[in-house]
Amino acid sequence: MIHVELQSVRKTFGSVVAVNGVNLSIEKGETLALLGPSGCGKTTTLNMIAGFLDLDDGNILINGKVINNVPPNKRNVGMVFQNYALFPHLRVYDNVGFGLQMRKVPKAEITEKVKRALDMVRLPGVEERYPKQLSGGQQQRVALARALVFNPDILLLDEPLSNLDAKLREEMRLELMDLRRRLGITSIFVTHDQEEALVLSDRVAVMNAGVIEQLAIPTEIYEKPKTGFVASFIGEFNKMAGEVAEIGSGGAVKVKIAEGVVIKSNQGYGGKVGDKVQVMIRPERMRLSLQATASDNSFPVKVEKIAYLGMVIRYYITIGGVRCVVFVANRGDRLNIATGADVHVEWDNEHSLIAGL
Amino acid sequence: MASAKASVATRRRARVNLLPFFLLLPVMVVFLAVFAPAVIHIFLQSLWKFDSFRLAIVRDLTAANYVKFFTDAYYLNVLWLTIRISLIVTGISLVIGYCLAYFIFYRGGRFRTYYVLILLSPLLVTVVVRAFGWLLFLGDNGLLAQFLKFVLRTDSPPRVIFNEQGVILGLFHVYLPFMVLAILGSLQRIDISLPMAARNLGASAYQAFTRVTLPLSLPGVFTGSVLVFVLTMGSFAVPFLLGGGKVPMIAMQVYEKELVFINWPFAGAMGFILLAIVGTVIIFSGRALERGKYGVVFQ
Repeated sequence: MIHVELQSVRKTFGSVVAVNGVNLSIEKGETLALLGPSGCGKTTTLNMIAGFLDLDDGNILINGKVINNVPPNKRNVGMVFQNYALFPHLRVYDNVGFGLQMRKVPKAEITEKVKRALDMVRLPGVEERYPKQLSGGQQQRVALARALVFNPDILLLDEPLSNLDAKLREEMRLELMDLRRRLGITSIFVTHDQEEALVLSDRVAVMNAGVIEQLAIPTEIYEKPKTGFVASFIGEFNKMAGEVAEIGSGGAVKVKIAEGVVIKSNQGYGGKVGDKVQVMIRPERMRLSLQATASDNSFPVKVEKIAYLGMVIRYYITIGGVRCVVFVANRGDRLNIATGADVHVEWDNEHSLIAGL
Repeated sequence: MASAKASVATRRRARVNLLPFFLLLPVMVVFLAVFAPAVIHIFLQSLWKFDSFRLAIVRDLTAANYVKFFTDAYYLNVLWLTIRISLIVTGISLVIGYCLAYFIFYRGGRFRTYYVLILLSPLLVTVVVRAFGWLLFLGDNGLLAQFLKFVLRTDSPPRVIFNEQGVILGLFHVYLPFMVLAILGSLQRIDISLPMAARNLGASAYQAFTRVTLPLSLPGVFTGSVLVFVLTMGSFAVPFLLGGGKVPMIAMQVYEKELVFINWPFAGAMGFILLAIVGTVIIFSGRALERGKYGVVFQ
C-alpha cells in the first residue's frame, strides 16, 4: 500500500530551482533515504512533506489524499530536526509531551506516554531535566521520543546522526535500525552520508540538482549505479576512459584504454564499436597478486604508494596511464607488497561497468 | 611534574579571568575617579539642610529632605505621575515594539537591514528637536489641529499635546527604538527550527508563538522594558516641552529645585529616590523573572 506519494513536486527559490519534478512513492512501513550532496534539494523535499514550504507545482499525498494545503500542525507527521530543535525553555517532560499537549491529551495519559517514549529510546527518568543538561546523544533520543510519542503517520528525520561523534553515531545507527524494525513506521530521512543511507533504509533516492538520479534498494545503488553522478557519489570508483573495441554476445564488451591495455566486461553496452566510454571498477573488487593468474582482467603494475588505514590498505597503481586505487582488506595475512613492488592487478569481467561519456 | 602541570593550569586560568577586568579597567577608572565622588557628594548633600531664607546649605545631618518628599502630597503625586507615565510608556512600547520587531525579523526578508535603519533614523536627531517636531505637528496651529478643525467643524478641536497624552506620545516615540532593538536581538537568537518544531508537533501559529517564541524572547522583553522604564523615569526634555507645564515628572522637579530654587539638598534627595526606585525595580523584576516559569531562559 502506498503511504506517501510525491507527484512532480517542484520548488524554486527566486531563480534557483531547488526541487525539479520529484516523483516518489513510499510504501507503508518503508524507510526511504534521500541521499545527496548539500544543495541537491533533499532538505527542501523533506520540508515540503512536513509542510514548512509550499509547493510551486505538483502534489504531495498521504494515504491517497492531497495534503498540499494542509498546515504543518494538521499533518500528524513526526520530525527529528538536524539540530534536534528541543525547546530550551522546557523540561524534557514538556518537550516530549508537547505534541500530546497540543492534542489535548489528559495529563495522566501524557505522563504515562512520555515515560513510555523515554523508555523506548532508552533514556528513562530524565523528565525533569532541561535539554542543555543532556549530552548530544541524549538530546537526539529526546528528539526522537518527542517525534514518536503522539503516534505520527510518518517519521521525518533531517540528517539524524550528523551532529554526533563517530562512536555515538554508530551506536545510534544500530538503535535507529532496531527502533525502525520494532515500530514499523513509514519514515523518510535526509542524509549526505552514504553509509547511513545504505544501512538504515529500505530504498535510497539519490538526489542531485533537484532531481532523483536513482531510486533503488541499497545494494542496487551500490552495485549498479545508473548515472555517473550516483557512481561518483556512492563509494569510490576507478574510472578509465577508453574506446569500445569489440562487442560480443552475452554482454561481452572489450574497451581499449591504451596501447596494449584492453579491459573486458560482461555487463553489456548498448552503443557501437568505436564509442568513447568510461570503464568503472570498484577499488575493493580489484585484487593484487604477486604472480599473474588466469583472471578475466590482469595487468602487470607497479605499486606507487601505500596508505595503511588499519581496516583497509589502499594500494595506488597506474593502469594504462590512469591512476587507480585497490582496496585490500586487512586480514592479518600480511601481503608482502612494498612500495615499488611489481605486482599484478586483476578483477573479474562482471566488475567492469561501462558508462557512456 | 603533576604540580608543575597544575600550576600551569592555574596560571592559564588566572590569565583568562583577568582579561575582562583589564577591559573594564578604563571605564572603572573614569567611574571611580569622576562619577563616584560626584554621586557621593550629592548623596551627602541630600542629607544636609537648606536654609530657604539665606538660600544657603547648612551642613547639619538630617533626613528632612526625604521625609518631606514622602509626606508632601505634591511630591507623592509627582512620584506617582512619573511611575504611571513610565509604566504606560513601557507598556505601549512593549506591545507595539514587539509587533514591530516580530515583523522586521520574520517578515522583513531582505529588507530587514533597511527597516532597522529606518527605525534608528530618529536617533540621529536630538530629543529636543524631535519634541519640537511634535509641537509643529500637534500644536494649536499644527497640522493635526487644522485637520481636526476642518473635519469636526469646530474652533477648539481636542488637544493631544500639552497634557499627559502628549508626553506619553513623545516619550513613546523617543524610546520605542530601544525596545525594538532589544526584542529584535532576542528574536535573532531563537533558532528558527524551534517554532517549526512546535508547528510540526501540532501547535497552531498562535500556539507556536505563545509557547515557544514568546517565552524565548523574554530576555529581550525584559531588557527593552527596563531600558524604556528607566529612561522614561528620568526623562526631562519631553515632559518639559510637550507637557505644557502640566505634567511635572520627577526629573523636571529635580531640575527646578536645583536651578530655580537652588535647593540642592532637596534636589539631591529626589535624585536618590529616583535612583533607588529604578534600582529596586530592575533588581526585583529580574529576580522575579529568573524564578518564574521560564526562568531557565535567563540563565
